[in-house]
Amino acid sequence: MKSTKTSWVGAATLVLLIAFTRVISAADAPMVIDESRQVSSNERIELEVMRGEVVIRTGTDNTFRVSGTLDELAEGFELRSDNGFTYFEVEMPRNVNNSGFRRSEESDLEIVVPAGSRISFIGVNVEVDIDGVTGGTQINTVNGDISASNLTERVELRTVNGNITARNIGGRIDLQTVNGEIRDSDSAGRAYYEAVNGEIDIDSAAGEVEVTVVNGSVRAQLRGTSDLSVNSVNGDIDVVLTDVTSPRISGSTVSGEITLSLPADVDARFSLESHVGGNLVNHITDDEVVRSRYGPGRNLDFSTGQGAGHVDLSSVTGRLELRTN
Amino acid sequence: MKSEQELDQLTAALPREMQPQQDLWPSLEARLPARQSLKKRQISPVNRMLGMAAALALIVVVGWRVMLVPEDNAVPVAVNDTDMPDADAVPIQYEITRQFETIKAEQLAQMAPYSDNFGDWQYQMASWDQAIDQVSGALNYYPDDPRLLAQMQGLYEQQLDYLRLIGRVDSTAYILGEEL
Repeated sequence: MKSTKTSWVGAATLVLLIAFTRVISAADAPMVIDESRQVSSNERIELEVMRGEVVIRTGTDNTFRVSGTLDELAEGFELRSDNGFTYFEVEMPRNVNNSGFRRSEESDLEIVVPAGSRISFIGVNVEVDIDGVTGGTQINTVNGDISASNLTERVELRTVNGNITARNIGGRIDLQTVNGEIRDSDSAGRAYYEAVNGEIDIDSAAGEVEVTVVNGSVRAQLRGTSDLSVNSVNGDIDVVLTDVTSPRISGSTVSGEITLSLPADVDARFSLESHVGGNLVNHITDDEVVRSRYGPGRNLDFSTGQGAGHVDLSSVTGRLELRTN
Repeated sequence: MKSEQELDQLTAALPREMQPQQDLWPSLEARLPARQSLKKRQISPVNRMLGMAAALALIVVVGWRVMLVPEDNAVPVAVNDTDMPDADAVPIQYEITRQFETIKAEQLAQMAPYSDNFGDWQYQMASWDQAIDQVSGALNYYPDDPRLLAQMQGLYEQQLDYLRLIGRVDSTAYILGEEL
């Protein structure tokens, strides 16, 4: 009887100890950080934050400042700044097991940089919001959204499972996602967009635009784009082009649809080709589709104006359609 | 080859003086030997197999002739309405396929069947494979069409880029310490 009572007491003590450990662990607040360094106006800044949310803003002076809370599982941070180069990393253990009773708090940081900085950011499960950097921006994350606005120079934003929302960015733009969506508005310069399964929605005044999509779809409203390249595998592409009379356009699809809406006074040579039975639809002129004498192909060739620009589209089984705005 | 309707029209257009003066069939029928019931020949299994093999070989040879060595009376395979394919254009498609499939097989051999970050990536690969098959089908009609060849190459490159991205992201996530 005594031994039974002893074992009950032991078990109760063990339960209390575990509960106490949990409470202590929960009360272990994330580490607060507030660090700043004087840097150059065109500082090259590298950031590594594995998990959480990061907001990057520009300041009025040449100061690098990072503030907020570090990941609860972080082992610390590293901040180096020397000779025009600043490096900040939230140091994490080699393996993070976050499947326990309570999900640990992730990093929540605001980073302020000089406007002319060049930013390079790497993360895994992290969302990034960046605004105002004019020296160039490179963001890479795996699972997380990227929100970017008012960036110039070379802008590369890439995520795997996340959305990219860009506003008013210029320069050489490269936006890529695998399974997310891309929404770009008011961009300028040279733009490249790529999505595997996501949708791409563009409202841009970029002079050169290239869009690649595999299974997703593209809707683009382009103003003054003189060079346009669109490619899809199965996805549909719908482009409305304004403020340009002699564009240079090329496009191809395997089984998707490409619909191109051009200004009524477009001045270009048109060459559309469907290799295996896809439809070619012409709403610009009365020129008709010609069936290939040998094989199942179809062609549509004609010119408007002096034929200054060119529009070359091809499909395997997909549909190609030309319209006027 | 003329249609039955055309043959009927040609027959009707023949001059009537060429027709026989009398119906010759009754006298011909009388001279025919009596019809005997056909005995079914027993074919040994060996002969049957040999016959099937010979028929198969004939189909393969004729198919090869029609597909790879088109003659004047065969359906021409052309890039456009005026040009005929040159002899060394056909292998380009196969050369592209061979090169990329080799690289792809090497990459696939190093891949795990499931990626934490990309999920069932093989489903996505199958999507590209289908597209490659479609382009390949079109290349059967237009073997040296530069657009189709470029499209096929582009699809393979997209596949390889995708595989590289999976490898890079998964290893990066690992290096950065995440166990997703």
